Amino acid sequence: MNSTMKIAAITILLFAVSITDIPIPDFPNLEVELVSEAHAILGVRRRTRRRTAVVAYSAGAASAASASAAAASSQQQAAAAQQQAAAAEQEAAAAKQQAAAAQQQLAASQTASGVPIGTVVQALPAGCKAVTVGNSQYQDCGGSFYKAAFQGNELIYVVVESPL
Amino acid sequence: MRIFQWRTTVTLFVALVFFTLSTTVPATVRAASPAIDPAATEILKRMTAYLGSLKQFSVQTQNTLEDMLATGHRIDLDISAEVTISRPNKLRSERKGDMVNQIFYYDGKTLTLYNPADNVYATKPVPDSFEGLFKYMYESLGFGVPVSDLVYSDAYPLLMQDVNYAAVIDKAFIGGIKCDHLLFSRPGVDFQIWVSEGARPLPLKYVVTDTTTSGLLSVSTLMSGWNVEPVVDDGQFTFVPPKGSQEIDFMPF
Repeated sequence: MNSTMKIAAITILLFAVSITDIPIPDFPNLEVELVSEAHAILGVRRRTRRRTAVVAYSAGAASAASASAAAASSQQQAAAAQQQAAAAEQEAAAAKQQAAAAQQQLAASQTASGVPIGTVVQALPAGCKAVTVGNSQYQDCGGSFYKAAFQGNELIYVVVESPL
Repeated sequence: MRIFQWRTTVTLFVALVFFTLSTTVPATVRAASPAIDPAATEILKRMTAYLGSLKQFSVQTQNTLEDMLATGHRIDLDISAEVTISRPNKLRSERKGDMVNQIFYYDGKTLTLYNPADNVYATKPVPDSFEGLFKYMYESLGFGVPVSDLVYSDAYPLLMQDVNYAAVIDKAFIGGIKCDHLLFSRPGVDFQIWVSEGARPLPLKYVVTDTTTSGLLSVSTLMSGWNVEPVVDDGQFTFVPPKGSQEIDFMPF
């Protein structure tokens, strides 16, 4: 091996070492988040994480996450071009959240009627039927009741107490 | 033997220098050369002033979000939108794309988000100015209007905030229209704007690049079909619930 090759090899090795030194995200159980972490634009990173927290831990993680959301909102005073990027970025985050929701859904179907109140999913489990109570519509999915809502501008479903 | 060790040391040293240079040089070059070309800021100022002077306008936008899949593959997510704005405080935006099919209404008093495919909508009383609306949306609802930077009546200082580099790259053609291609940079973000030449300095393309990671992912927006004198009916900014539609809530943000 000549010295040019050695230089190249060692440089590449150093690169590899530096690249693999990626910080561990807060929610290692959601591997889908790793990538969005890498290209988040300012506040969006935290907001995305918070939204993931809601998906992953439902109401439980909300208080811890709201602190970072507050920090994020102060960053959101940034200039307009950045806001455009942020708004658009949110759409990209939706793709990953969908993946997360699918995992969640899998877990939900396993626990049948025992899905915790406050769980947020992007797609309903199979076999739900619409129930109207008063002016509100619910989806009865095997004894768990889901109510549609917008989280940001995304349509999601939240598990609620039985309205019946 | 002695020569071999010397060579190894030099090899290692050179490799280290390469590595260090490759990881630090771009950052230092950016930081060390703050330069604002007044020709670039002048064009941006004319564009924002012109947009701010328009009472009404409509435009079609094509948003492309570069994204990275968990598998490491680079993909684009696309959203088309039709936007109509009537100053001082009316806006309608209809968006279609990957995962989005939505109409946004703002009539100066309330905001409505309607998903036609699911026939659900949510309504909120909101501030009576665009500036107030956008602030409220970011802080209380957790989303933004993608065209907000076109709408601000005084967008120039917002766009120039923290900018440490501005340049006119060249002339370019976007959709057959001759433009000035501008580059602006601030810590963490590079943005390019293509502004049409002539009496109507309109933005025809935006590219916003996140410079904080090696991926350099961008969000780009192409704007076409500018109409600076659209026929606007106030009714198009007010949502009327279609039959069978269901009202839902915004989750607290």
